[in-house]
Amino acid sequence: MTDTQFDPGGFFQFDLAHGRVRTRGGARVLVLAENVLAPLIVTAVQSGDLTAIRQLGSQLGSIVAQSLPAPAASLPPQVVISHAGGVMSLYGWGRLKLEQWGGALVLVVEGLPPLDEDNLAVAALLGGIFSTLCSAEVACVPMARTTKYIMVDPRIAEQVWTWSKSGDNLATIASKLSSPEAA
Amino acid sequence: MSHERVQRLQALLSRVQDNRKRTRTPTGLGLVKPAAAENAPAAARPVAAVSAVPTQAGGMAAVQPQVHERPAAAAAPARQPAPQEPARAVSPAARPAPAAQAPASPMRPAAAAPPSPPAKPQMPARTAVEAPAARAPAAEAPSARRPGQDRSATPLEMAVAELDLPSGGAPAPAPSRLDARREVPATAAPIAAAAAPAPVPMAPPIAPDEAFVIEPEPMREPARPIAQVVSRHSPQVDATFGAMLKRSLSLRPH
Repeated sequence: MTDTQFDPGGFFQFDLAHGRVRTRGGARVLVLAENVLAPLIVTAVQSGDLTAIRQLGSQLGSIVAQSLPAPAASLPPQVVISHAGGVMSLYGWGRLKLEQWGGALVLVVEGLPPLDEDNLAVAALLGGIFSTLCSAEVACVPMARTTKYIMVDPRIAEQVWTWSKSGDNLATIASKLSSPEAA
Repeated sequence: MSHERVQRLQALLSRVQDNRKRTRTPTGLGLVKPAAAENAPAAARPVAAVSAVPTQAGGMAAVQPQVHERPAAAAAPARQPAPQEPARAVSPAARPAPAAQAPASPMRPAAAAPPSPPAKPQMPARTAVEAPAARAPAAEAPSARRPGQDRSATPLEMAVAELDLPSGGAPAPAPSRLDARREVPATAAPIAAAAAPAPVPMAPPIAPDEAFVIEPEPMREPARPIAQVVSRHSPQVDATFGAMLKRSLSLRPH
């Protein structure tokens, strides 16, 4: 089970002589305070462009994929979530859990500081992570007034988001969704 | 002592003995001398013999602990007639020597009379068990009394004091366990029955059928199962994360 657990040891390298911080994969990162990042995220949400946040998620997804012993799609869900949650914790993006509501996968992120009102930034981050990790376009739609994000096809993400904004809870939204196999 | 007085004492004695029988006097009373009685002067020995009654009655000692909690100096003054006792039949001239009256309490007249607790006829006394042996010479007791007993005690106290005296009329120095046992054979069976520490007379315990018990009604059978599964979706277990994600991404509004 040693290869199925995420190893955070030596993940960051602090080069004090040159004033650089690099990850284990060699990517250079900057350490930001949350009260500095939050206004940037709010600005991105107001401008309607969360590409930078999704790009950050893609980088994290690459780190997760590199830490996995095999492609994520072929691994048990527990292994994938453990590695993804480990990388998110290292970057300070909260604690990640996975739930299954019927056929829908739901991500839960706890311990995050308040960034934007509708949690769209975290939704973009998660979408970037799992899209890169699973080599498929994934939309993570935030459930209003919760810390949960339902993973759906990007083509129906706008509809699900509308349901959530109109007050439907996760159970209701999950019941409104059905797979073609069940139909 | 006049004949009237003798008769009066006999009547009191019989009444006291009857009262003692009613209260089921535990044995062992009067067998142990209290410390205060041993330290009392010789003239007060008969008083000490009576005062042993409350000391040996464990139950009474618990009921009236203030009697035994008094200091030794106050123990002698405590041996005075109870307030409820009848008027004294003994003249002040018959009272003991002034030396015995010295530590008298300011609240009561000084006299080396028996203490107030044993003066109560309803108090249990060991001598009540020995009463059959001591009852026969009881009529002669007044005439055989020693001079030291003719003190300022009430008739009731004097009658009780007579019970603790040996039947021969000789002044006993102090009640001892051995003397008491010698008197026991006449009533060996009652003493044996009462040898066990008799509890203080209490109210009879409540019988189980008299107790008021409230029992809950039996629980009726539930019309529905106590636990129900409310989820409409049966959990689907997938082996891989890819399969789960594929199913999630395939969801469409219906």
